[in-house]
Amino acid sequence: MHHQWENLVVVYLYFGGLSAGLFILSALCSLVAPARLERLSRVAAMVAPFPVAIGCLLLVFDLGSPWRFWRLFSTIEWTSPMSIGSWLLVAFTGLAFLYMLLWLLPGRVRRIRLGKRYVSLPSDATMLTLRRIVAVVGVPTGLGVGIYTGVLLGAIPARPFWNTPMVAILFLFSALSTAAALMMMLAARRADAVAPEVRQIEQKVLIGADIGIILMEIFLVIPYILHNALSTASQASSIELVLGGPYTAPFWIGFVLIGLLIPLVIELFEIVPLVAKKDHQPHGRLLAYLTGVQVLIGGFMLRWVFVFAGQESYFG
Amino acid sequence: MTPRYVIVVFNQKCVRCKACAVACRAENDVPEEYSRNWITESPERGEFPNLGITFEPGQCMQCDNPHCARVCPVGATDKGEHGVVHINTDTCIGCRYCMMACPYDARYYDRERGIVDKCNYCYGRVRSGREPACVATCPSRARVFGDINDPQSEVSRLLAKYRTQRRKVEAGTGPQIYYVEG
Repeated sequence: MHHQWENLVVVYLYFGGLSAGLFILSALCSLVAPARLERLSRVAAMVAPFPVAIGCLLLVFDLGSPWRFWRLFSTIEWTSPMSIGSWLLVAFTGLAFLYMLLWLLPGRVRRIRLGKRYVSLPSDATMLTLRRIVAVVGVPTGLGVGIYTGVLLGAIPARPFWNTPMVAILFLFSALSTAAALMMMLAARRADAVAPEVRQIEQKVLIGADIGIILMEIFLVIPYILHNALSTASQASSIELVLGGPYTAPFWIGFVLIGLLIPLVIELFEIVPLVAKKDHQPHGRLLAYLTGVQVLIGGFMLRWVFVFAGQESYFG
Repeated sequence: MTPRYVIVVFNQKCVRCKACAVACRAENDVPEEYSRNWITESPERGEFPNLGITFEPGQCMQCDNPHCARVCPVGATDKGEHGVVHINTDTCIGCRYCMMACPYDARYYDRERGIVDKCNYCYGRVRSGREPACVATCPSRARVFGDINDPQSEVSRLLAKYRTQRRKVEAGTGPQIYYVEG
């Protein structure tokens, strides 16, 4: 089939996952260690709503009839991943913006002006409780968005390259990894703003989490390739798209090497002294940027390869 | 019993004149760059001078379990009356998810109208008692159209008489075009 879904869809899947990952990591940080990981949690919360909002806009413009997009929200089609996903996206984007506000307002704004009247906001304590509630509700919603981007592709027998449950999980882990990478870069930008102990904990958490996520991705990629290659004729011929076919280099170099293996090596190199030596100072910014950018590129390449190669695969 | 329409195709009778494609285009106003039906050809068989080739006409298979309808986020495609899979072009938003889901690539994206479209067995003609344009125009009668629920219909008799095959049944969509290959 001629490609019907192109770069806008790639960007949208990528941004949806990135936002979901940022929200989930931010919420987990603030629920598990609200004091020590406050800065990480805050910076992720500030960024989280924007990629997904942009992604949704792109998606609307990619429709053949953009002005009819409202029809998506005039119905719920329970058998259509796209329908469920649209509702999830709206719910998630709303929660992400609310969450951002609940990070911004406490301690700064006491009342807001609506027309001529002033409305007092709830006390800071109430808002912090509210923030925790939004975090707890938002995590499953975010997980839903992260998984949905993969299910959208996976739920179709006609495209064997996509038609495996591993795609959904791979996309979810990749979303978390790109989010961790972006947080790493944002945290490195203002590294001097926090005490060295805090910075050390931040680094341990982010790098540790990303190492774990990247390992999970590697353990998903291996069975994905093997399973397809050893499956039915349709699956086996579809996987050839990345085993010698036109998508071989983007997949193995763009995603596996740049997005997984190199960052993994750098992160191991960074985390070993952090854990082994008590007073070790984290490496400079450059390394954080380098790793971060690579993970972000890798995550993008993963979606790019899947969106394009999947459309070239066919059943039978 | 309400009618349920199917097509029986005799591959051996198709001479690849493409009159079906022209008739369809004229009947349904299909823009030039797209087509609702097609003819594929088998690889050549035999050795010179005894060569053989067969052609196979195809179009939307009007599946019993249409994945295109299942995945539509706005319910624009449904398995309508008489077994015809129907697109409501006023509802379609042009997301093209259905095109991903069709194992036969039977749908096309009409860029001009911003929607997806496909063969609907010329439903307007069928409702007024005529055959689809591709069937009516075929000079060698390679396609036979009829009601599978009527035991007296020509398609019912053909299906009882010949061994037929359907394409990509393993995809699970329950295609409703029957091919007589022999």
